[in-house]
Amino acid sequence: MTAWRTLVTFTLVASACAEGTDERTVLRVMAWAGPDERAIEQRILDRFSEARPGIEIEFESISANYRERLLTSIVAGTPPDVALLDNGSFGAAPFIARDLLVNVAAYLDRVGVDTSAYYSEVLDIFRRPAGLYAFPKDFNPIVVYLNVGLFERASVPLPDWDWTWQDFERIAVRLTRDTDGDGRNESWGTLVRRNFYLWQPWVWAAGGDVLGPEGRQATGYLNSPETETAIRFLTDLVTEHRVVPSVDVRRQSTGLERNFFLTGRIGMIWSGHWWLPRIRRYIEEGRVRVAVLPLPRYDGRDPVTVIYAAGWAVPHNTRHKKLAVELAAHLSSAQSQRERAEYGLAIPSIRAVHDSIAAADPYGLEQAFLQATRHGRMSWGSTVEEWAHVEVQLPDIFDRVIFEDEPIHRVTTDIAERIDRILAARGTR
Amino acid sequence: MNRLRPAFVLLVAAPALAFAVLSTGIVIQSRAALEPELDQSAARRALEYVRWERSQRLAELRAATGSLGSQIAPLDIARYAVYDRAGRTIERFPGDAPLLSLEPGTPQTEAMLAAARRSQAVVDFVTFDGAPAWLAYLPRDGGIAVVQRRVDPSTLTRFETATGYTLALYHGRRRALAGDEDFGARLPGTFVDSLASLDRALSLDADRRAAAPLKDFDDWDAIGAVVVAATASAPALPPLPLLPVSAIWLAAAFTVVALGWVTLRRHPGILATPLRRAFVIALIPPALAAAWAAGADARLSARTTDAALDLGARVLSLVPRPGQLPVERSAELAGADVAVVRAQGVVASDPELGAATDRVRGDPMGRVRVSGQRLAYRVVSEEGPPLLLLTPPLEDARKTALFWLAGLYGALAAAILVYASHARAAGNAIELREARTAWTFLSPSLVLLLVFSAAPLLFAFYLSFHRWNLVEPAKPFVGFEHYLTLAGDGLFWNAAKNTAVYSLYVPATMVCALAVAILLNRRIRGVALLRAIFFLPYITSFVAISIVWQWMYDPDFGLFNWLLGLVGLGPFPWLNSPATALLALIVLAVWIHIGFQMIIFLAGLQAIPNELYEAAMIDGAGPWRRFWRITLPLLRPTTFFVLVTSIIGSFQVFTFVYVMTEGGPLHATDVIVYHIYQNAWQFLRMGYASAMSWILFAVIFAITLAQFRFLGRRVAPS
Repeated sequence: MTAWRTLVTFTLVASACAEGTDERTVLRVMAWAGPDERAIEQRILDRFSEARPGIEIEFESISANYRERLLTSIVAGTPPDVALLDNGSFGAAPFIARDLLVNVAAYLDRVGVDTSAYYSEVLDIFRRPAGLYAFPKDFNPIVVYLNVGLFERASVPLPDWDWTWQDFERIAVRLTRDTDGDGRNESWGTLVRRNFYLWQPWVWAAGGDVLGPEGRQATGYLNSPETETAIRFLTDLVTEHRVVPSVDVRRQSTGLERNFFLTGRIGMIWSGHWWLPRIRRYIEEGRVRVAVLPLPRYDGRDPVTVIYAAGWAVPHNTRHKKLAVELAAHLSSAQSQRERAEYGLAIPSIRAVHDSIAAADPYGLEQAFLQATRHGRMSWGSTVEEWAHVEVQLPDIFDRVIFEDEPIHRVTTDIAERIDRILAARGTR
Repeated sequence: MNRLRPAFVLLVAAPALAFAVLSTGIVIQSRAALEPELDQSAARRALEYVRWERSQRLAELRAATGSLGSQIAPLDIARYAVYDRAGRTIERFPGDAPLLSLEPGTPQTEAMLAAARRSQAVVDFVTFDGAPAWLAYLPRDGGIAVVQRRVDPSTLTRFETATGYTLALYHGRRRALAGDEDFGARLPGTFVDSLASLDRALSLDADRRAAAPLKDFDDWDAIGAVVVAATASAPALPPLPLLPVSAIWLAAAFTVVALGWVTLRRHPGILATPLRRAFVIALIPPALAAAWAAGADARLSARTTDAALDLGARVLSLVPRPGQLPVERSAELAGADVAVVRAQGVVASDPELGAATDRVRGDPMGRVRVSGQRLAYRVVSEEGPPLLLLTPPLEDARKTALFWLAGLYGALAAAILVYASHARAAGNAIELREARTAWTFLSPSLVLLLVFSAAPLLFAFYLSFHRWNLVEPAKPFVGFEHYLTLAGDGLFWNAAKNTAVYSLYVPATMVCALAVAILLNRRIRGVALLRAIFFLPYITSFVAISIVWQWMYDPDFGLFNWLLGLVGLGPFPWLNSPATALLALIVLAVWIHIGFQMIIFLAGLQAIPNELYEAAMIDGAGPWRRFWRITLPLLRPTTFFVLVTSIIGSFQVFTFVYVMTEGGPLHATDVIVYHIYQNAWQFLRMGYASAMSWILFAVIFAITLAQFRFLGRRVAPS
């Protein structure tokens, strides 16, 4: 009995001491980051906590089911204090529409953020008439990477920045070659993936779109002649011109496309800034020569690309609103963006930081991103709550046209009706 | 029977006593938690009321800034100063008064100045010369007016008269305006020190005092607190209600008892009569106790909801012409989720809400159903058109304790039945003790099974009848809607078909695994290594395997097409074509599962006595005949086990699809579990996904049952 009493007393005293001395405030930051990015983010976070004694920051890097985990943590009342959101897979739109984020517009003076320093195309992704719901982190316009060595071997001159779809198609055909005459190609012009986020800018370039201006209707837009022109152009690359190795259905990149690009088997790949860190080492070592161009424009129309951006947001039910908004602003500050740009997964959202990075780029690749950004548009994921549901319908268009050889208009009309039903069924499941 | 008498006493008295204690505990805890919740609700209402006061005073000051001098008397302005853009004083009142102590340079002053420069009028709460005041920054032509206005003490007394709570205003920890008592010392250190980061009300002590942080003009820094203390006229909860019982719970509990009783009557052999009596007696008191606890808890929760809504209505009565306020602001002030004006000709933005106003005529408060969701309402009709305040009732949210109570009751019924069966079957005390020991050791697993398998299963069943979106507060009951929608959902049936086709890997794998097991069931050099090699895929990460196989399946550069090309075959599109994608996944599944099934078959093969083979060989049976006549029949239990577990596993395939194809191309690899995942987590349709889960569960259950019925009998040892 004495032993029990001693144990209980000890436990009570120990817990009382622990409670009395624990005066730390722990802030949680949730984001998706690879190992290299994690180290940089940790350095940025350390700078914040060093300036504020008693503040501890836990960085949670989530690689799978990010949106689901964030949603459940907010709904369960245990949200992170700062969370990274984007206008793609981890779309901010449903969070903003449901008032799950703090409107930081009211605190811009408090945290010393000057919104005019950011690219307005990026800021608009997180802006609504009622305010601003995230501090922009960085962004990615879709551009085209060219393997200069393959162009030279095929005696194809590099196109200029004002190139058109016809140029793209002509070059892709010339780069697709069977050099040893065994009946199988050794190199291809380009690569077509069925993921919609990559073919969205082609649809815009032709003057089409997936949804109407309000983002609530697909019929009349997805099956418009302009949209179908873009779909026909891309699917023809696969079925008519045969300038692509295969249509890629894979979700996880195996790194193959990078290897084929680096070894000169694919001449042109359209992708985002996230490609640069993966190929930079080879460029620096002189093993590959790369040029970057904005996407080609449709004849007679202005060039256009899509912008995918990420921003630091504060869940509405954080228990440390003031600190969290300060931390989000710190993560988006010019210094933090400069540190992040060392790795270069994306473009800094502060114009001056991007300008200084571009000026210091010895290969001149960043200039193409600067140029592309001028024609950038935000994706539908920025504003349409149901975008995740809508987006998964779109690869079916490619599949049905390429594999089933169905007429494009029939397919787009069918998918447009399906999307309309999804948009009309808001809150009915 | 005499030996079992103490056990009888234990059987009857202990559960009844435990449930009585538990039920009473739930209700006492309920009451202890609900009253502070009511007080915290009062603190939140007080905070909203003070903020409303602040905004009203600001509006009056803005209206008066054009001619400050003539407006001073009615507005009770303590002092003011007008500055030009260069910071020079243009006008000051009183003329000889010192300049306002604005603490220039502080973040708060700077933020207010910045706001005023943007032509945004702001007001804050300060103490100046020991007196509480509103401090307003007002943009004027060519400058900024800074006005300090006294806080009217009647603000606090009116709140007390209306709600029964005294209200005190604190600037930091110093009382700025309050009644007789200073609560400063009662503000807990943690509350004051972390005011800036707290956005919730706290109870201060057991004397029904609660506080909420008062933030500055832009809700950034906490500058003080509002503290409320209940007086005799404050709403309170009744003492423990004795009479109410939950009819539904009572009916459910007695159904269990009745079913048990009928079963025992029909099969008198199961238990001896005294045990039968004990079984029924042991279940009645807990049922009564639980029914009382459920009823009392619901009544207390309902009373708290009503009292909180009533508090909100009383606070609204302090606001002049409540009907003229925007309904969103009325809801904020009253602490309701939604407010809707109830009047002829007024069209609510949500037609369902408009219809709800028609259903509440008569009673000023009660419950109403809107879009399938049950809501508590309170009608406010002091002035102007009647206003309806709506909020989810607490009694619907507080079901956790009762959920556990119901679970425990079920577990108790099962435990008593099992115990009684053993008592009947046990011929002596030793066997009974052994059975007890066995169940004691099994109970942790049983608890885990109940908590992590049975409970989620039941919850998913509940979800399947509701429209349940993670982020939507309304989760209405929709009956069989999801199941009916599923019937016409072509993509779901496509996924079901794909799953069924995918499960064909099971027989294919079994044939291969059995062949490999027979080959490796002999004493040859390196057999252990070969077995390990076959087993390796099964213990390797499925995600890693999927990524490697993606590369091997690549139509242009993959290993398979290269190998096939050597013999003049292919190239095949593998994962890139709807015609071959599912087949590619089946091949992968066969490769992975061969090792696992081989190990099971090996165990089965090694259990077959060697003498049987020797006798058969003496009788002249060849290898083929020995396989058909000895190996295969004696492997039946093993084969049955492998078949049942593999079929269940095949219906739950997810990882390969998730990593490799995302259900494509053209939904050719869309399987049920991936479809469930997409609906639940990508589209957030939890109710719909739960309905699919239950269909899947029913299918697996039916198939397993069929396997046991048609194959299990042949497997049973004769």
